[in-house]
Amino acid sequence: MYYQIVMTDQAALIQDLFSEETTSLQGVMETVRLTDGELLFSRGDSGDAFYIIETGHIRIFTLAEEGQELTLNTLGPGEVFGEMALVDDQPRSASAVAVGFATLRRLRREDFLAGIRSSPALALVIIQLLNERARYLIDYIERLGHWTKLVAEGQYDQVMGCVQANADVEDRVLASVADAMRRMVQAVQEREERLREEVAQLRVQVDETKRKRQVAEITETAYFQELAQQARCLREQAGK
Amino acid sequence: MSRIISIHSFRGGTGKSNITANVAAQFAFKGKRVGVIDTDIQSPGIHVLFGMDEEQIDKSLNDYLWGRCSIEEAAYDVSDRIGSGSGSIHLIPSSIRVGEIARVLREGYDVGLLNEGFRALTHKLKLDYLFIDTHPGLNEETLLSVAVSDSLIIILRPDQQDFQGTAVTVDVARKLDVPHLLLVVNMALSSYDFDDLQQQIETIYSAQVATILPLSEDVARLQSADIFSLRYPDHPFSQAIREIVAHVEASG
Repeated sequence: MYYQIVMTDQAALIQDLFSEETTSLQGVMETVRLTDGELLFSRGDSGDAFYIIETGHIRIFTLAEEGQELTLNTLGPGEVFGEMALVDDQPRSASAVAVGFATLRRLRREDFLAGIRSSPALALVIIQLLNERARYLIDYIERLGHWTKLVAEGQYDQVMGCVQANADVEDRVLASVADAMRRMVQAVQEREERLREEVAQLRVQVDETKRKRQVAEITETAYFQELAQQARCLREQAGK
Repeated sequence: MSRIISIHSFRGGTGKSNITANVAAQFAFKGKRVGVIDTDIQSPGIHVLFGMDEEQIDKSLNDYLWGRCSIEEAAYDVSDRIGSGSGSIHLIPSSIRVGEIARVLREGYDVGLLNEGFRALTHKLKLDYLFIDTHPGLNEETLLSVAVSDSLIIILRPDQQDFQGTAVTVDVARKLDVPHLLLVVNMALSSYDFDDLQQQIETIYSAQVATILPLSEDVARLQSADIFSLRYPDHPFSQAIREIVAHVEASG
């Protein structure tokens, strides 16, 4: 949730920058209007723009292994997405589609790169946006470290509770990490349970041949036979 | 009538000295006069449980075996150190001086003197019980201790090496006509089925299991610095120690 709130603040800042008449940035951001069910981009498309949602909703989805659509997130007014595409041109990792009518503001990478020359404030606000994301990820990695420690200590219930609370985060990568953690904890727990059962069925076994031989090695010595004789006498005396 | 009780394990590290000290202390706590003799001359250690260190040990079992003193001169009344109630507890430590340990290993000693020492101790100190903390394995002095004992308590851990070694010890003890044989399983994982384990062991050795002591971090934490069952009488380990005491009492 923290992530979304910050993004909303950044979106307002960016909007302000692009509407100020004094800067050369005015008119650089274009408006995109989508009708219900209209596709904005598909997974695998080249990612070359950043979006701010003005009205309506955008559903981010991917295709599950079985072929059906898997919704990763639904974003609403004031929320942003695609900021990483401003810096590199990696293909889109998911698809985006409008839910109902939606109005978006789009900033293309080439316009952004041209704009930062005349407006350091624009560069700063995008850096802040990316920085927030990095901070969020670091925080998440720290949480992962904590969960791993709990797993090592065998506090499985506590890990599952934490993972559950993080399973519905907005970010699909983090959600899948939480899911992988959940599955790992289950597997570890099952394996441990199996081992415990094996251990509980401990069999007491003695090699009888070896036992006879080892006993003979001791009892056949002259010392032992003399000792056994003496012990018998002592006990008999004590008995009387 | 006094009784001699040897406590033995086929291998080291079974918690033998710790159990010996605790059982002895419980008897003293119940008002008995108890002796504890450390015949583990090669690797002595039980004195630590009674709060003694090298500086406090003047005469030891070694001095007796080399004819330097009488056995009772090497006995230390440690009753006050452990707060043993109305009874008393007398410790005959082995020397912990490296040179003296080396001398025993090099020259040996007259094992027969040990038996005379046991008899003299029980008589002169008017002991109800003499506990012999033996050296692991089955060397001559251990065999002698077993031969002159009224009871033999064998401590074993639930692992295959101890199962095998204990089988040999049980057979040897039977050939020496030890009147009373008792098994104590120590360091059992809490996940074991204790009843099943006890039944298997009793069947395989035809001997009684006094108790199965669970592997205890609490006991390990005390690091042999004290008598655990006196300090924490309500702990499961202490309850198990009292079960051993009850078995020993019932056999005599």
